[in-house]
Amino acid sequence: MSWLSKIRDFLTRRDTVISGGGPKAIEKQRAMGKLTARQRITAILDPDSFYEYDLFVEHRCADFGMDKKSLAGDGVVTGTGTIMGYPVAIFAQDFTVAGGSLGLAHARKITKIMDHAMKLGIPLIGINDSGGARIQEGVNSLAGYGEIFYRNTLASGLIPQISVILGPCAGGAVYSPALTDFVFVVEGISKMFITGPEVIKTVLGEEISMEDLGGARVQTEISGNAHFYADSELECFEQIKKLVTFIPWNNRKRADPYPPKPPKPGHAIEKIIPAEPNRPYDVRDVVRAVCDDSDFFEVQKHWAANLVVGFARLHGQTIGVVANQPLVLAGVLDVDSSDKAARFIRFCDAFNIPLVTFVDLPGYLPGVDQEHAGVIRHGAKVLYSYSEATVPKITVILRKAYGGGYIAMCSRHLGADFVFAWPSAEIAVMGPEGAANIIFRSEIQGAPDPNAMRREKVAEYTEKFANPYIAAANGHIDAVILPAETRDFLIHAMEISAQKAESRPSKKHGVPPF
Amino acid sequence: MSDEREIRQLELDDTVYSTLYTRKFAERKPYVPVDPRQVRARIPAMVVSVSVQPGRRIRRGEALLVVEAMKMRNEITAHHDGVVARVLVTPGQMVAKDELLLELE
Repeated sequence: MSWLSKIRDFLTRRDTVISGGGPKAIEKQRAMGKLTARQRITAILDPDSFYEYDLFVEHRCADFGMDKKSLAGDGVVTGTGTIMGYPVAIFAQDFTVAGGSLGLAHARKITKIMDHAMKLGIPLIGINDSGGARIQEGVNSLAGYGEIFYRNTLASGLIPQISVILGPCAGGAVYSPALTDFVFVVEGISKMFITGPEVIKTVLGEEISMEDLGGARVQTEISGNAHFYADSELECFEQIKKLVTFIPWNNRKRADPYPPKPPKPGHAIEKIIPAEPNRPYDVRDVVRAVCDDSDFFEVQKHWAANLVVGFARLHGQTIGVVANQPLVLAGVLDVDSSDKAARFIRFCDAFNIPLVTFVDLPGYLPGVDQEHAGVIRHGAKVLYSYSEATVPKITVILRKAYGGGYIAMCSRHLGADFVFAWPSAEIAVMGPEGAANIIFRSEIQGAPDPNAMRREKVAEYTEKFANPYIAAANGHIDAVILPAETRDFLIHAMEISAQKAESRPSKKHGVPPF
Repeated sequence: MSDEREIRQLELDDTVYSTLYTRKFAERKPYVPVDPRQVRARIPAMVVSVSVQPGRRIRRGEALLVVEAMKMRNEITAHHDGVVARVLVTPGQMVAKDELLLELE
């Protein structure tokens, strides 16, 4: 073969694979409102930054006539590229090729790029769009899934792992996203479940649509499996790009600093919090009033909204924000919000992102459903993850910090490096009404006018205990600060703890209350 | 997205807070105490056989009926001694989750 014909032969081979499942399948994909695997990769990565590998990988299955079938790239596209200049490894399942079904060669392309990402210390992005196991390959297909899950686990805490669900992701396949750090879903396109509507109908007689069982909204609002929700694939890709700018490449690095910016004008911090401790406000306004450019990138915005988590920057440095949200359920901790906080805290700790906690909570949510759902175990996750975290931990008590909730929200006692409190802080075992009713029970009951006595005792308790000064007198907090001083104190705390190195007793690993 | 947008009341430790509810909280079901006299279906199933009749004295652990669900036959046994008051199902019948199967006196 001449040089020229070798080149021509190569180009023909490459074009064949790149055309995926062919025009018909691609048209079908488009009709479902979906981009193709390569279009998605191109849209996420910087222009012309994608380099594809393993284009010519072929499956070895010979059963059920598979030996006569060649599947382009075995149904998955893998490679590396950059997002806003940050290096990433990426794979995208190609639904146009045999429904993106996962066979061993397909899986091995994924595990290869995962190994690559781990060795190179770069984030991994996985785009899931697959009908599931390639049944013809039998147990080899299962082996493929298992090898992926194993690497998801090894990579956890080593490199950031991002899963993008852009099609079906059902059965065992959902466990790969579940093991990763952030799951992105898109309205009308993402479908995630362990057992589908048909099985549920057959076995349990319950009828439900795919969308209602495991669509984007359900996974974002109800189950909490997904972290980011978008109306379109393009909006989803913008969210991914934004996330990548906040996090480091791997666990040995810190997130890249950005040019510092002051908060946007119009966020009057001292006007956000109502004077009465039982009135609501949006704690995100406090975050926006202190962070750079008032840019708060919320994670799991639509789930367990009584607690807020997300990324922001202080003087150019990434921080992880955890905040009780008095606007929703008075900001209580419960099963879901505890889960949400704990997971986020552990991500930040694993990836050297300082934690800033804003506290305003009345305690834990009472209820039979909460107790039966294991709020003890879930609530303990918050204590565990804060105590375990060795990144700089800065706490600002805005208003209520009552009882167990006070301890849980990164108190000094769980190893906070800095605890600041606003003058509006109430650091106490419980709110004045509850405390007065218990402490002065007999006086109230025995009084000629119990209600007047109750009011008097509540006022007495409020005066004495509903403030930050007893905690300050005991050294449990470091400083009472003006709301307007918050940003300065936070930036200083960040700068002063930049070299923080806290060591812990050596062990294989802890046993958190999963 | 569809979290409740209406400010409501939530009482904790004798303090009433004004706040939004999450959808989950707004839709939570009040707890219903378990009545030990009632035998209910844990999951949707088909009744295969019933081995007791009303008036029959039974002992704890005794088989009451067999139901089939998820391709498995499950024997439902008595949780305590008692007398069968009512049997509400017959073999071949499909029952829903939580449906009352049998009542003890």
